Amino acid sequence: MDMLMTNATVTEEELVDRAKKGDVGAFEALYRANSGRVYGLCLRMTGNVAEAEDLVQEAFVRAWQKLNLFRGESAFSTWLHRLTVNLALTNRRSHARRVARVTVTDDLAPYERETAAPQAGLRADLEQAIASLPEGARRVFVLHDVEGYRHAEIASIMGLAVGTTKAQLHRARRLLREALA
Amino acid sequence: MNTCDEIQLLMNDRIDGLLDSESARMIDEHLAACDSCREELAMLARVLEEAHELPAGIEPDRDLWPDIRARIERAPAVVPFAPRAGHLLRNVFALAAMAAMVFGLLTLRQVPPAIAPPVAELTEMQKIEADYRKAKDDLLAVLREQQDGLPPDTLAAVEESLGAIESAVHDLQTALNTAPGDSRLERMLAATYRNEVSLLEQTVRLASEADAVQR
Ligand SMILES: [Zn+2]
Repeated sequence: MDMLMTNATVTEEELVDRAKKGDVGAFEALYRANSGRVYGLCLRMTGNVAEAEDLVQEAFVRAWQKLNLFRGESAFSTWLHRLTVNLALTNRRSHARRVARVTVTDDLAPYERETAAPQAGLRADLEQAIASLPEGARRVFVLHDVEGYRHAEIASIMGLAVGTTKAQLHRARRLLREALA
Repeated sequence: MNTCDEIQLLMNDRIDGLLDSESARMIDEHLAACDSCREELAMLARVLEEAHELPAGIEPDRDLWPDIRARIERAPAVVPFAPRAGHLLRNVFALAAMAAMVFGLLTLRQVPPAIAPPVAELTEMQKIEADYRKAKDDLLAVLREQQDGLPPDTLAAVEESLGAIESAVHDLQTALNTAPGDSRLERMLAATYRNEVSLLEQTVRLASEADAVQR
């Protein structure tokens, strides 16, 4: 395991091959290389630390289970990203969780950590404002304006019309402008 | 003339480059003349620039790997199949027609599982599948030792039924490959597995009763 992680000559492709054969250590290396990216996506999509952590775990467990369906047409990280987006969009626990939540203080901790960086004040405000958006608007904003998905892709994944995702994006951007004004 | 609300709606498409040149020019003309819309646009541009520059990754507060590892390493819960004891080790070398045919049929039609698992943790469906394979293997092992008693027409009927079941299993697994996790397909597949196991159980019971009578 340690050898896998420190050995720079081991490619993602090799790790995937090993993981497909049941090598949990290789899969851990894939987790280490992708956890930040996946967690960032999940945290922004949900606006909630506990939900994001659940989602990350679910995403990697699913990835492990479905690894044999990954044929290497794209990078593993791209495949994993798409799998996570699909999972986040079908995540049905979010509403109950949000209702049960009494304070948002904990949820903002990871964003506040970034305030050490220069010019990060606005960034932290933006992260917080994104987290406060209504769910539909937040998901579309994160996918379109943070992750770079196109309306047609978002609409297709979410099972919505493009007009609907455009309306959600408009709403999200307007709310963010108001929040940051 | 457009209202500011309409302009601001179109401003999103404008900034995303989704407008044809004529619409874009119309928006730009309004913006040139309207301070409030221009201010909105500047603010929008600032939000989007900041959004694009957000770091792609955020490290989780705690290490999530131990929980993931525990989940993928959890041992599959295989319900042990307990065949009726008694005749098990008798005709070890006597592979007569029925068992040979049934076994050969199943071997030939053996379909790889929808999600071939190198996986340590199994999904609900994979557990069902593991139980099914275990039950089938056990039943076939029993049949191999008790094949003598069954009449040829029973044999043919069993073979035909097993063929139909295996073909349904294949179709469902193919469908599940294109729609992984589809719960309706999974329920149908699980029911099909139960049918097959139940048919094998009946066949084993018949064979073992005939076997007992002959002795
Ligand atoms: Zn205006």
